[in-house]
Amino acid sequence: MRNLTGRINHMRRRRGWYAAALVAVSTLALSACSTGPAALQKSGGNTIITMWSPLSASDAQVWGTVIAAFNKANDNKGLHEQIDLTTVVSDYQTKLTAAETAGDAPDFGWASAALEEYNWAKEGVIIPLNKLAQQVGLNLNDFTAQSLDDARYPSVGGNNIYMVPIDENDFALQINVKEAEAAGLNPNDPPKTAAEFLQWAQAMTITKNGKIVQSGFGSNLAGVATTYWGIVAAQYGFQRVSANGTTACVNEQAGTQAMSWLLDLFDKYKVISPATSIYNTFDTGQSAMIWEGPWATHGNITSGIDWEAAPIPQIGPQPANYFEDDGLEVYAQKNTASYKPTMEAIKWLSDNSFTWVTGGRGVTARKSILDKPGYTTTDTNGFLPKYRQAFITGMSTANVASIPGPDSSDFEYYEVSPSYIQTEVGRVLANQLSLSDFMPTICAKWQSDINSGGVKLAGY
Amino acid sequence: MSLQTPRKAASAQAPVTRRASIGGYAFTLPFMIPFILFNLVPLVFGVVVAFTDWSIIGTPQFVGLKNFETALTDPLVIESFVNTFKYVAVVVPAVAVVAFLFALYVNQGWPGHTFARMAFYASNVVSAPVIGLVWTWMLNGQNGIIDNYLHLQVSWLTSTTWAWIGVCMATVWWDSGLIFILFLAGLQEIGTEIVEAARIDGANWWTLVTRIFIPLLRRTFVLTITLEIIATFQIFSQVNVMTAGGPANTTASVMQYLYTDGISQQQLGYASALGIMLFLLILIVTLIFRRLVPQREW
Repeated sequence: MRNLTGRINHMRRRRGWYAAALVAVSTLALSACSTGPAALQKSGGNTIITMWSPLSASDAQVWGTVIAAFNKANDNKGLHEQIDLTTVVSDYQTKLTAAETAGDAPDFGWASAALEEYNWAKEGVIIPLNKLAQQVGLNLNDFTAQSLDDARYPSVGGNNIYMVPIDENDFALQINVKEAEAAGLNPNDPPKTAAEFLQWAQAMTITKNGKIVQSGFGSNLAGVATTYWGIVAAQYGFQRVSANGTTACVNEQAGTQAMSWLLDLFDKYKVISPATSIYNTFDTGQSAMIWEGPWATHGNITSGIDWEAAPIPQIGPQPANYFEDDGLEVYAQKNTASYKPTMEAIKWLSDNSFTWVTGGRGVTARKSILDKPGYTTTDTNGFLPKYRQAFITGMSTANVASIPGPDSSDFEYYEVSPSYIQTEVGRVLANQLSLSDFMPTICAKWQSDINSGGVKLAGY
Repeated sequence: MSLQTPRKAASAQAPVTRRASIGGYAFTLPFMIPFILFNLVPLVFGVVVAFTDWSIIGTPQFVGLKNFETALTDPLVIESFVNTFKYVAVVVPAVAVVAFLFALYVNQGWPGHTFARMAFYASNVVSAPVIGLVWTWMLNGQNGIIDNYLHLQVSWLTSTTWAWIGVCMATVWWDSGLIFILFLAGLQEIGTEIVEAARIDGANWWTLVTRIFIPLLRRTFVLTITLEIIATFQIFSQVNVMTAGGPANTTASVMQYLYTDGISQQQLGYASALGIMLFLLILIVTLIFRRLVPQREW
C-alpha cells in the first residue's frame, strides 16, 4: 500500500513536472517570438536596405511614391537594391534609439536637425557621411550652405555632415483669399510691412457679440506663437546666442519689441482668438491668415479653401524667417558593409527628390534641382506655384534655425513642443508673465544653459 | 507530547506540499514570466535609472539624488504636480457623483434606461485620443458646439482660467463609463427585499438613496474612488491631445510633463525620478484615503 501510494505520488509528481516543463517551454518559445532587422539582407539579386520614417498622412504618401520609384528603378537593375520602408508614427526618436541600443537599428532613416541628432552624433548612433558621400559620388557642393550647416555638429564631428539634406523649410504668410476679398483686400497685393499686416488682420477680424468668430491672424499660445515672436525678434535684430556661443540674448531690447508687437495683436488690436490647432482654424476659415511652414500645404489643399502663400511681412527693420531642414541619416551598424549600399540609395533618393520637393514638403536643398527649369512652376500633387513660390523666395531670409547642443530644446521655437521658450511665451500671452520680466527670465535661463555647456555652436 | 504529534504530521506532509507547490508555481509561469520580464524588471530598472543620467544610448552615469533635486527645484514640475492635484480634487468626486447618478437612473428602470445603459458606458470603449479630439472640437472657443448651444463666450482650451476645466470635463465624461458599471453592479446586488422593506416603512426615493443605496455601496465607493484617484494622478492622454499642457503650462500634468520633458527628450533618468515621485504620491494619497474611510461593515 505504501509502495502503491508512493508510486502514484511519483507518477503524479512526474506528470506535474512534465506538464510544468511543457508549459514553461511553450511560454518561453512564445515570448521569444521576435525579429529585428538584420543589416545588409539579400533578396534574390537585390540588397535590402531598411529605412524608418516618422512621416505621416500626405507626407508618408508622397515619400512612399519616392521609395516605390526607387524600388522600381533598382529591382535587379541599377543599384540592385530595394528599400524596405517602415513608418513609425509615434515616439520615433525613442523607438529608434531603443532599436539602435538593441542592435536592431534600420540602415537609414528620416532626420530633422534637432536635439536627438546632436546627441546621436556625439554617441555614435549616426555616422559621419562626408567620406561615404565621396565614395558614392554625391557632390556635397550641390547642397545649399545652410542645409549643410544644419547637418553639422562641429563640436562632435568637425566639418562632417550627419545627414544628407532632402528639403528645407521656412514660414510663409498664408492667406484665405475668399476672406481677404470679403474684407475688401486685394490678395494679389499681400501685406509687406507691419502697418499693412495689421491693417489686413484688423480688416479680416470678425466679431460677433464681443466674441471673435474669425481671427484676422491665427495663433496658438505655444509653438506657433513662439515662432512668430522668434521671427519678428530676429527681424528687430535679436539673437538667442552670440556668434561665439558664449552669451545669451544679443540685443535683448529687440526681443521685447517683438513680444510687444505680438502681445498687441492679442490684447490691443484683438485680431487673434487663440486656437489649439492653427491648421484647423485656417482650414475651416476661423483664421484668415497664418504664418506657417510648407507642411501645411497639403492640408490646406484638401480642406478645399481658396488660399495662397505670400512672403512673411517685414515687421522689423531687417528681413528674417524661420528655418529647419529634413534629411536622411545613416545609423551605426555592426556590419559596416551596409554603409556603402545605404549611401548609394540615399544618393539616388537625393538625386531624385524632385517629386518630394515639389509635391511633398519644403524647398529643395539641391542647387541643381533649384536651377532646374520648371522647378518653381511644377504643381506636383496640386502644389500650385501660388502655394510654393513664397516658400522658395522666403528661403533667402531664413536664418532662425535650431541651436545645436544638449540643451537645444530650451531654445526651440517650433519643432519640440512644448519647449521651455514656448512655455514662457505662452505665459506672457496669457498675462502670467509681464512683458518687462519676459526677456530677463528667458535670458537668465539660456545663459545658464550656455554656462553649463548646453550650447555647441559651429566652430566653438 | 500533544504538541509534537501535529508537528510531526506536518513535517511528514511538508515534502509533498512543497512538491505540489512547485508544480503549482510552474503553472503560473505563463503569467509570471511576462510579469517579471515586462513589469517587475522594468520597475526595478526604472528605480535604478532614476539615480542616473541616461538617454537610452551610452552608459548610465550614477548621479545620486540629482534628478530628484532637479525635479523639486523645477517650477514646471511643481506646477505640474499642483495641476495634477487640481485634477484629482475635481475629477474624482465628479466622476463618483456622475457615475452614481447614471447607475441610479439605469437601476431604477427610468424611461430609456436600456439606451442609457449603453450610452453611459460608451465613453469607456472610446480611446483617449478620440475623446480628446472630440472634446477639443466641442470646446472650440470660436465655433464649438458647447459655446454655441449654451450661448457662452468661454475660451475653454486656450484660456489659462478655463483650459484645465475643459480637460476635467472631458475626463469626467470619459472615466464615468467604467465607474458607472461598477456602481450599477453594486446597486443590482442590493436585495429587493431591503428596498421593499424600506418602502413599507415609508421611505421615499431620497431616503432610499441616502439611507439604503449609498451605505450599502460603501465598498463600491471606496473601490471606485481609489481607482479614480490612481487613474487621475496619471492623467495624460487627454491633456496631451487637447492642450499639450498649455496654455502656459496651466494644464500640464505630471505624466504629461514626464512624457514631454523626460521621454521625448530622452532624459530617462529624470523621467524615472518623476515617475517614482508620482508613484510615492499616489501611494501616500491612497493610503491616507483608505485610512480616512472607516473599515467597518454596514
